[in-house]
Amino acid sequence: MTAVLEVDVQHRAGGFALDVGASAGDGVTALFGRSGAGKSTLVGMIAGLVKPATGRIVLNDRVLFDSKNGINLPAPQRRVGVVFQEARLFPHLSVRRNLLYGQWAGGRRDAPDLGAVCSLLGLDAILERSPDTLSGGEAQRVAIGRALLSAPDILLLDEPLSQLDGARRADILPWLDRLAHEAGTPIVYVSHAFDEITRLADNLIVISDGGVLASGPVEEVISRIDLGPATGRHEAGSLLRGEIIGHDETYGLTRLSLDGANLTVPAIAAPAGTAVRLRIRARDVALALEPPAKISVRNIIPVTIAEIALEEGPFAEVLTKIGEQNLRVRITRRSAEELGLAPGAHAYALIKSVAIVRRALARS
Amino acid sequence: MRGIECVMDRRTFLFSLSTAPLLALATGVPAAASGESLRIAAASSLADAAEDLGAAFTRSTGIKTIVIAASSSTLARQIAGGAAADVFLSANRDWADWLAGKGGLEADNLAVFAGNRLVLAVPAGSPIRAAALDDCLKALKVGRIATGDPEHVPLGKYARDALHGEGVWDDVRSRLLPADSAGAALRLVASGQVAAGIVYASDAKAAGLNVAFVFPPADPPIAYVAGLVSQAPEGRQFLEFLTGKEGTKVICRHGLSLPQGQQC
Amino acid sequence: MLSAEALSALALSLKVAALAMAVALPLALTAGYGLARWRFPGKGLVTVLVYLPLVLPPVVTGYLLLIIFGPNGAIGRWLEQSLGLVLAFRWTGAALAAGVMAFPLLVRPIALAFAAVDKRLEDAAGTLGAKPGIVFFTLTLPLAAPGIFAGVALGFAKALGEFGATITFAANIPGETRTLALAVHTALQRPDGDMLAIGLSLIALSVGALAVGLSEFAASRIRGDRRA
Repeated sequence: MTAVLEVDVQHRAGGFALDVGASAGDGVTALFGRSGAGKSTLVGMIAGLVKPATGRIVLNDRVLFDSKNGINLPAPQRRVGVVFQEARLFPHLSVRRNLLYGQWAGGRRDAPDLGAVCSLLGLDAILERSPDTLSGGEAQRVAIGRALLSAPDILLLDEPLSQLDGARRADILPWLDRLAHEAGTPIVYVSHAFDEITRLADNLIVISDGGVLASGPVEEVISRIDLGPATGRHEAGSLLRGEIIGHDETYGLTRLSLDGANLTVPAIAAPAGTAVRLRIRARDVALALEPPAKISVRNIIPVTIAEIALEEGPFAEVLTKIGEQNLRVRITRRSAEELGLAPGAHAYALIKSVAIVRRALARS
Repeated sequence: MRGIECVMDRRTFLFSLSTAPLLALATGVPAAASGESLRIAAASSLADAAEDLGAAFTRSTGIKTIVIAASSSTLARQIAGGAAADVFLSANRDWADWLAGKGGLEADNLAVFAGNRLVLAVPAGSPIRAAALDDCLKALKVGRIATGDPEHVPLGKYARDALHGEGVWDDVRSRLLPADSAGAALRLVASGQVAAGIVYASDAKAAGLNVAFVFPPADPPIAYVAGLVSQAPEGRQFLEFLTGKEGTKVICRHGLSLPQGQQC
Repeated sequence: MLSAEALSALALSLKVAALAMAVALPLALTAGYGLARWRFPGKGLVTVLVYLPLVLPPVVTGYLLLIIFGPNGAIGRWLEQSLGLVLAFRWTGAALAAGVMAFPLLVRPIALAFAAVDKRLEDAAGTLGAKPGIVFFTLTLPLAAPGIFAGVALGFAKALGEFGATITFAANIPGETRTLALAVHTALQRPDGDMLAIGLSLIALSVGALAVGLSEFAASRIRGDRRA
């Protein structure tokens, strides 16, 4: 990944210390962590609203902040677009004037076309409305459009859906999906909602207690066993990339290829050759030393055991590999011992339930 | 309260105490003011003289006095509105007549007790020297000339008459700074806020101002008129004292002149 | 009732109040913004100075103006010598007195209005490329406008009716500094000035009410437009 944004900052505020070194490239980089982990402060620092105590921030080879050389570019010059948790639309301007603010007040002449952004986010119908008449979801879409129309080099979305209720969030997620794919601008997406991240992110940075716990491609980071406390035990699972190789019209099924292994899932309405992202929860997978016969589970995949982590309770987390991809499995400690599982051993993963999290993944 | 109880019971006393002022307003002639001191309402140019007169009167009769000094116009309107006073010393006849017409002054007991002259005075440090009026006015260029407001202050009316007499009223009227009282006009000149002022000779002398021009004696002459506001016998005593030997001595000492036929 | 005298006093009052507002408003906007947003050493002292004319007796304020801007005052003398400008006993001086007295009444609502503008909106504007000056004129000022209008209404009404400081600093010169309030005062001194005093008072009342009404109307229009 060619880094678009490089961040290396240290800061202290209100009994809270931040020391983050991370980078983001093209596509969507998710910043994940519990509330209070420091994510919003980090966004503020990148945007130029908060001054780090020490450090360096570089965007597209432009130095935004460098404490050693006394550089601190003011926000208007940074070309960092921000979408905040509260839409922060200007109440005295119409939606149209809000959208174009970056152009008529910010002087950004090289902005994308208004029509294109409106189509992307479905804003045509509300252009002449006043911000206080918009719903939460509509306001956030306007906020995103406004940030896009300021021609930023990078777009920061700081928990943009956290203030919306379930229905609104479900409404706006598809728009964010399109944004991630079609906007062309690198995106940093801050969230503590796992489902948003698994759907939208290409890369993932996990922040905990003011520091970076892990970073890398989202599939890898999600499957790491040691991130349990930071990511939430009950969500533990894996993200995998697959490709549609065919459909079974008769039974309403679709076949996927995953690094050589074949998976069958409920039909996906997309042509063969489409790349998809799958999410498999660790507790939906069982392990066997031999492929069982006469069993309803259709997905029986040969895997290699990579790592075993025994827990204090009855469970054990096993990291297996399908080709190059990770698959996390949750079984009882007892079973792990009885099966004699050890790193390097071969086994079979029985996958009961697969969720298609994202269709039409960009090819990496 | 003992003595009062002998004459009338408590309730009647309190009742008459509260109704007395109302009765006084109704009749237009206030009852004896404070009952303790003699209240002298004096024109502002008499402020110092009235204090001395009051002190001398007290020495002579043992009756205490209080002096309230302001423009005769202000005092006349306040007394007509019910303000408490025993004696009114006005700087001109007009206001005394006006107040008598309103029933605030005993009409047949008005006495002219002093006179004055008008001068064009300048602050200390002013480059203007004593000269003819025209020369003075030219030397002042566009500077403002303070005096009493000709609309109501006696000093202002006298000044207007004097300027008429000199034939320069139309030229000068737009340059006047009308003050609310003779004392205010004097202070404007003394503090150097204005280039010059038309004030009483007595005031100019008291404030140590340089006199650039002395206006000829007014015709009719400047006349200070004393009148009785209340029924208090002490008031009558004061009027006699005012026009008697001791009173005239004080008046002369303050630079005022005495009415026709008398010399300081 | 609308004699030449009354018209002169009215015209003068409007002239004086207009000049007072024209000069005081930019200063009040700065002071209001500074008190609402900036932190600086001596802020407490500045606050006291700004609100001083509100708590001092008006005559005392007029007297202080006389000491500073009068013919013998340090600034007054400098103004005359270098700019040929004399304020004492001129209508411009009356405007100064009115402006000083109205200043605290301008600053307070303006400061409140600026403080009420959500700073997070200004942050967002900055990320969209707007420099601080542009943010002020396109965002902060429009959002603070209703409060500013309220301040102007109060300030104008005060400037229109100012008496104590005006008569002390600018004196009571007909046609030059005799504003409505001073004209009423003079009429009350005259032997037969009661009718004139009443007439002038009614004029002052009408103009003041009109000023407040217009300002409220303007402010509500601004608020209402947003609800379009």
